Amino acid sequence: MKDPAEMPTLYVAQQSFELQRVNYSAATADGRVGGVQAGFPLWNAIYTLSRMPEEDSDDWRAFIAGQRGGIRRFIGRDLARQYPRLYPDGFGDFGAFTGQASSWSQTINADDDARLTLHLGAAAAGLELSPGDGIDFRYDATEDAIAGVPWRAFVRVTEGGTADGSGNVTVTVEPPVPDPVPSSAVAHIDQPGCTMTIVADQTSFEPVDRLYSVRGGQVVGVQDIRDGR
Amino acid sequence: MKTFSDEALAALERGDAIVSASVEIIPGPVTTYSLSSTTDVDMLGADLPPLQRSISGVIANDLGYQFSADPSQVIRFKPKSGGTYSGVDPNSDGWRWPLDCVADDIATTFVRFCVPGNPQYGSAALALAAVNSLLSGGARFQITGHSSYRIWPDLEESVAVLDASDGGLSVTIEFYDPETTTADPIRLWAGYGAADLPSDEGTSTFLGVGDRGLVQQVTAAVGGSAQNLTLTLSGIEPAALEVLDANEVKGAATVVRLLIFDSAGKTLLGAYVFTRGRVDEIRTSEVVGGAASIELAIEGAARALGRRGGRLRSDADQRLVSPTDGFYRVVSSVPKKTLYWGGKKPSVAGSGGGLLSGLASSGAAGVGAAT
Repeated sequence: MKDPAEMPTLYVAQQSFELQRVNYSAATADGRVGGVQAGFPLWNAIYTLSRMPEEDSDDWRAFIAGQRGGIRRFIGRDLARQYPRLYPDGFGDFGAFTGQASSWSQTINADDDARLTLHLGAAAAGLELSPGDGIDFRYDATEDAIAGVPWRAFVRVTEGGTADGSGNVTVTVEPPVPDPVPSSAVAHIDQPGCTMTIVADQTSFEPVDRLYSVRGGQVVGVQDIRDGR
Repeated sequence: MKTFSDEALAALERGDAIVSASVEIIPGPVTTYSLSSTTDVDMLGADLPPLQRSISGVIANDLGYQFSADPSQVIRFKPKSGGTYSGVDPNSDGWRWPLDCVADDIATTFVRFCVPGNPQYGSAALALAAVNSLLSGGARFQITGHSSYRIWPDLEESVAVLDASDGGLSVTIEFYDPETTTADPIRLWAGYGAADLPSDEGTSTFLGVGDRGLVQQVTAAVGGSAQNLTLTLSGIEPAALEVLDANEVKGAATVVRLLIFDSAGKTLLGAYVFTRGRVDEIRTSEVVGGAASIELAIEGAARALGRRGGRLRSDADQRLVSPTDGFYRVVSSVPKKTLYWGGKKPSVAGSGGGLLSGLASSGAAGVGAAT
């Protein structure tokens, strides 16, 4: 399989980048309705495109064409949060730190919340992560058909935290880091994304008009989780 | 009865659990008997290799099978030069080998297997039969008498061709019994990645197919017929796909488990056997422009129980059991009588009035009322 492609990031007028859960909404005998879910949540992305210059229109059309429907993969991003909320222009104030953690670990607390600890290094001391910030885990897949293909898994901060003097920060994330993500995966907070596949029957462009660019369109992707252990 | 652990039950009660499913397909062992001959093979009578006798002894006697021959199931091969074939009546009783083989009409010489069928419920499935070319290892094809009476459809395609210059005929017979298992099971689950999950061997590694809809069961009405369980397998790892050979898993014992995880999806709270059954059929679904998937239909015990046997409520059938038993001798001439046990009696001619009709309309048995 070809390495997942980077997606164009310009001229997305609207975006939905949320977790997709199949919830049975099971009613219990006492009348309360609970949430028994089928399977694990997946990230779902819907990008609504606006009018754009011809060049960008060509880029988007070439990107979708290259995806070959659902055959290939791409890196889907939360374009509304490519860097932590407090550092929209990157990590220039943190010296050598560029967004990569040297290591990470996760624990599940008594409330079933996933507490993720990132070791960002001393240069990132004082860095603050806010709810909505993204973290991705980059690794090489090990499943036979895609062995060696770079892969990403994505989580979103729900309760933020501030890195201590050593650059260690613990936050609550959702969903918990999936089991297929190896412990050797490299965590990043710079331009995080997850490996997705195009949902072909929901992806389309509006016609190209006299300005030689598409009038808009919609690109839909859903996460593809693969084993990296 | 399924017994949920306290943790799993509590999670379900709170409504904060993630459910998933696992499937374990356990093909039976392939016990191989080989016989070969460098001369003309007389497969019946005095020259019959001992193996063949023991096979027919097992099938015809020990397991009590009833044979039904299917002359359309033909295996063609080129026999040893100089042999003669005198044909076999496939409708005779029992398992027959060809007497021997002819060399003068190589293209059309064939042998017929009497295909075993209708095994008794609960008995082991019947033999796989394979013919191997001495030179190339040949093609392997299977005849199986499954409890659903299904014969392998691709039999004609799997033809072993023995070069006439071969030293003889080699026949390999494999017995396939899904009730005892030694072959490597196929283990899949509906999550992502490989996971160590409860299995019939304690704990085993299951391959993730990442399909929330892995297990689908058509809801059956109470009192209705039991429905098959359908597994839809898509996005399967090629390694798992290789072992999902329809010929090998047909009739294989299958265990479907319900998995209860905590709401974080990290801790398995419980795994419970949802269905034990046998693989009924494997269908591949490939729609141009649509999804491609493999559908595995699993026949549970309840469905198999609904299968009718070969008995008839007729005098002839009963006489087969005991020639002097005439219990059903009048069954064809006995009149029918409808009895209404409770409930509202349908309107009939006798509902105009009077004591008897009043009794009838009150729901009492209609015997005696005008009909």
